[in-house]
Amino acid sequence: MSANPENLIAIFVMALAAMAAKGGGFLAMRWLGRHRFVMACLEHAPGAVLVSAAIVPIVQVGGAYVVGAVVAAIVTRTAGGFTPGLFAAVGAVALARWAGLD
Amino acid sequence: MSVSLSARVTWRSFQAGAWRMVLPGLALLPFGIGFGVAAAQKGLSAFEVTLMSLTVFAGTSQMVALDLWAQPLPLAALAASVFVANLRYFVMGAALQPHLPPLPWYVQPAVWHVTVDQNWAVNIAEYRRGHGDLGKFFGGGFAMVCIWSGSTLLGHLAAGGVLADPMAARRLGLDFVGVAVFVVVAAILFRGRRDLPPWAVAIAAALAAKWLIGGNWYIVIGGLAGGLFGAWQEMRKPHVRKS
Repeated sequence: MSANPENLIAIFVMALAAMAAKGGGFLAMRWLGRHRFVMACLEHAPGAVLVSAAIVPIVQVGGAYVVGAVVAAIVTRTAGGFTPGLFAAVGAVALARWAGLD
Repeated sequence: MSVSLSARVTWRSFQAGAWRMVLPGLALLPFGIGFGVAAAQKGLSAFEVTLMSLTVFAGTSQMVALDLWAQPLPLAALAASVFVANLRYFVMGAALQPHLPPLPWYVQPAVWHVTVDQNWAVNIAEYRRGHGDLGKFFGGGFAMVCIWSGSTLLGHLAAGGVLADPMAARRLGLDFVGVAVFVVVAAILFRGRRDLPPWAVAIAAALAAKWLIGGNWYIVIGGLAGGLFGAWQEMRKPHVRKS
């Protein structure tokens, strides 16, 4: 069982940030009303975070990652779920590399 | 406003809440194992992976953070990206809060901690029907955090075998697991044409941030840009209808 102090500090910071996001809604609703702009922003932010996180590595690696992302999106939407989408994505990347894509 | 959530927690309701979340929790296994493998590839120890899963308990944001995980660790970027990636819990908490009875201050963080997608979804319906139970909510959260942390540890231990070889992992496509999670969850969240403009703005902002600023701020910048644009788009709707 090993632990790097710097990693532990980072995990602590992450836990605080997660708790702030989770608790923020409870606290905000206690003192504030439901402002339409804020609610709309919060509604769109999660999807925006996800595509932002995905797009840079996909563009940087290209080839197999692009195939994997397309397959992931299609299978998730058609097969309807997290697990099929994830397995299909990883399998598609492996197949793409086997076929010569980098 | 009706307060429908009992503040009383019993062992029986805790158990009932835990048992009913086992099956939804099992759906986290592939994600958790994938996170454990990815975390091992980033050099985190089994203890660190388990501690992170227990204390952060928010899979997508943990995966986002892993994307930023490089020495020296960018603490501000990690905090900002975890916060932004978890903003959906802000909305969930806001929806749940009106149902909560007054709780002692020391209980409230525990309620926040177990506010995660599946546990919130299963329980909020009961709260709205007036059958909410804090014990079930805590029990469900306990089951979920155990399954999530256990699956990430399992993934980390699996990575100690054949998956420890970066070339083998690459051949198997396992280096894509982290990115695949983002794509799959985004595909699940996608609600049609109304999401396209904010997502396009997020993508453009993320790419611009990566190439103009460098570093790993692109997730935060893209997320905020997409969220703000989506909100602006929603605010414009009444004006569009009037014209």
